[in-house]
Amino acid sequence: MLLRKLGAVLALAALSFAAVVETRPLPASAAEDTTTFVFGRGSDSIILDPPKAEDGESVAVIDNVFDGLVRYADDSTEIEPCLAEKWEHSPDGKTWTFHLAKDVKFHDGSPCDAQAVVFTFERLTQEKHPLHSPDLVNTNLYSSIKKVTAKDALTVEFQLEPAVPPTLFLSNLTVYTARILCPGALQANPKEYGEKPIGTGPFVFKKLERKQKIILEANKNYFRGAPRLSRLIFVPIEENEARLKQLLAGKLDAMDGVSPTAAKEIGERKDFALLRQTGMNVGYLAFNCEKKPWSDARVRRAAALALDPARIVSLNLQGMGTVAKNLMPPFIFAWDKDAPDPAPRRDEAKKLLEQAGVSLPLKLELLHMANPRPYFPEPKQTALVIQDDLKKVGIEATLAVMDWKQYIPKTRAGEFEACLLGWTGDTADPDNFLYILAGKDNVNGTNVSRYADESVNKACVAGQSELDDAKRRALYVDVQRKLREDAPLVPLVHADQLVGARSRVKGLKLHPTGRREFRLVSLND
Amino acid sequence: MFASRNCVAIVPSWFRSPGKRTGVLPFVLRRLRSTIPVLLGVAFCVVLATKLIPGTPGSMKGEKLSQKEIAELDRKYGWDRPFLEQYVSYCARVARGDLGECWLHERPVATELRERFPATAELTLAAMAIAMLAGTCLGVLAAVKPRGIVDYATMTIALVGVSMPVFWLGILLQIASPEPLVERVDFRLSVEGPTGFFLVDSALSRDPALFWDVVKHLALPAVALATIPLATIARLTRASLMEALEQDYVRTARAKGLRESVVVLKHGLRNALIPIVTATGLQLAALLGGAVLTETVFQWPGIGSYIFEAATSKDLPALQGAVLVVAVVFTLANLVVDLSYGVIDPRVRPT
Repeated sequence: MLLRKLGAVLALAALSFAAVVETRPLPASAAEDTTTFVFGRGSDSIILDPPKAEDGESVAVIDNVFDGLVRYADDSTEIEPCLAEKWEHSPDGKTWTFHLAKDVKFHDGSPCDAQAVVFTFERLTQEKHPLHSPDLVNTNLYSSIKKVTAKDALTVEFQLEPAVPPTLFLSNLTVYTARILCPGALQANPKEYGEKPIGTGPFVFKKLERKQKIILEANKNYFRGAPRLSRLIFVPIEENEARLKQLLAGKLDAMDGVSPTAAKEIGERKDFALLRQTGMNVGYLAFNCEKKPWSDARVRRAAALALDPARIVSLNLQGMGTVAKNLMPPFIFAWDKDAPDPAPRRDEAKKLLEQAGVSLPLKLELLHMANPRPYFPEPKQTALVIQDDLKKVGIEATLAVMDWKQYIPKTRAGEFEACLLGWTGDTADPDNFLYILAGKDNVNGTNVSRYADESVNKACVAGQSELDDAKRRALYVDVQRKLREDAPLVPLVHADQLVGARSRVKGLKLHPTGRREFRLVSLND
Repeated sequence: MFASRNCVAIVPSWFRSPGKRTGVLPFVLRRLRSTIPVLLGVAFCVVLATKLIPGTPGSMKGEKLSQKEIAELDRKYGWDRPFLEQYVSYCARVARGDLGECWLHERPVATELRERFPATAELTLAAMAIAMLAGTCLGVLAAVKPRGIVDYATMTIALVGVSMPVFWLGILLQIASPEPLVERVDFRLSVEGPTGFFLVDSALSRDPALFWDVVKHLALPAVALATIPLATIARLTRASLMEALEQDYVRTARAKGLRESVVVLKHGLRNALIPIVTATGLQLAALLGGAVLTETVFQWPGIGSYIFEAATSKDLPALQGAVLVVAVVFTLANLVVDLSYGVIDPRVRPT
């Protein structure tokens, strides 16, 4: 009697649990909802105050809430007007005048005028500004801005010292860190701005639920035309596999961070589409130029000549990428198109090693990160391919692995012989790749190879103030040639950006710079 | 070992010893006072552990910052000061009720914890409810017919439950689930309400679809988490009830002609409850530990996943705050367990 009763209770409980898990009706609202777009990505945004953001996931939200003075066109790295309708600069490049678009309002209703622009740049560039702080990122991009003045309500003047090449200055202004901030909101509550951002962008920030979602709503009065969606929801799902499952179950409309393997699966399914675009990134192999025998350029070049990046693209990126000829992707200004296609030339490599007088087999410790990165989705496999290639010329590499959190401090401190690393550009300008990755000034920082060549550094610094495009191009082409000869960093791959989407998604385009803008996206049924 | 006749041994002395300092309130105050050194110790361990991890808060934050900016950040966060100084200043601030500001989001830790706490509370309570219901039922089933098929079956389940790591079970459940479920509610839906408990808030919203969605999302992580205490409760109920059923008063009850269910549940189980309640209270600690894993597997936005994020991003104030809160919750739970003895067993109620 009792047994039966208790048994019945348990059975009932188990059944109801099974029922909860088994039934799978999509909520009616989700199935028909053609105005809410759900975008899944690998992690949550950390902070939405533009110059404080450092992670791509914060930038993705900032891209839709804020506008800059200028922007990259929808599908190229051409500069086009945004909050600034037009602009001109003095012949010496030191005085820039921007004329702002009329009647643009922040989401809180306050006008976006010259004062807001002045406020934004003073905060960014003046260390004494009350809202400046050491964790504002990319400040080096704006360090030449000495003075910003409002000439009238819609005219702003920038004084630069030294002068910056027009293309470089404008592309620095497209970067998310230079988005125009709402002075009233930021001053009223500086702490809150990072979780309740107010901009002029196509979407209005609505709500942030940590680790769950960020909800944006359409800005119906957006000055460049209101978005087609009414709601945009960003959802963090850490595991790639779990995110893919959510997409395939129709719970997401699109997702970022598609692994090459998942890309194949999405591409093969009907009702889903895979979007591809060369990414503004480079994955490279860095040698520590301060450690023997890697301080000898011949040894580094020999190792470079042993490698076959095409194998990395086909094996580790499943073809979803391109072989890197230079340290920056091809769509960037001054990319050296005369660089030879990287293919292994192992006899030449052996000769170089002989000339350098190293005894074979040469031992090498190759450090790789444990976690997938945009440019190396399978770091360990990539390290294995490199190990195999190096062996063919008599370099015996042992692999060492380190978690990403410690990887950056370790490599910057020079605690390695050779390591895999990469860079995702902030701007589509050679300065952002060549100077950052190989300039002597950035040793102990982003230049992990500790390559301290004066001529390269000088050329890079000169490039920052060369106003003539042709001369500037020549400077950077020379730098790329020199880097090929010295091989402190061996460029390997440019991984494609991959986004998986349901086929009902229309108008979603991947921008070369990785910008995620949803203004033109709509949903069909 | 948890026999009911030994229950006196685990009942706190204040229930038994007569004198001025008896009564519930002084006891509660004394217990609360004794938690202070515990919390100081917890804070010490957390500060020490974070010091031992390589890297500094500045370097954790800034992949794109320069050396100088990183150093400035470290200084701003007080990372360059000696360990003991960091520890003492932290304790002083906590004593004033200030948990500090987390480094990652630059928000008050107290606010972040307040936002995250209901999720963990809801998950833990749901898991506890499942474990208590199922665990007691299984235990009673096993005790009524010892060494029968039911007994072996239940105890096998309990053994599997106690040995299987909760994150592994969580992953298995996710694979088995026909619908991929993460977080607390469907992405397109939102739960608004006064409590932060989605079950309650969605019920208040009178939207059956929303409530159902919340239940679905809660079910898997709650079951996964429930296996930790469930196994212990089942085994304990069995042992304790078996012993109680051999007592004289049970024979008397049967002799009076009472129905078997009344005998077992009213006379037997009630007397067997004290060790079960004690164990349940202690299991809360295991639950909070298990919550870190379960929440991470199911992306449950609670304190557990908060601890995980804070630890991996070396967000010291966030980590300290969260661990302190867990320590406080744990101590309070034990206090409640002690107080509940009086309710269950009138013999130990203070007079």
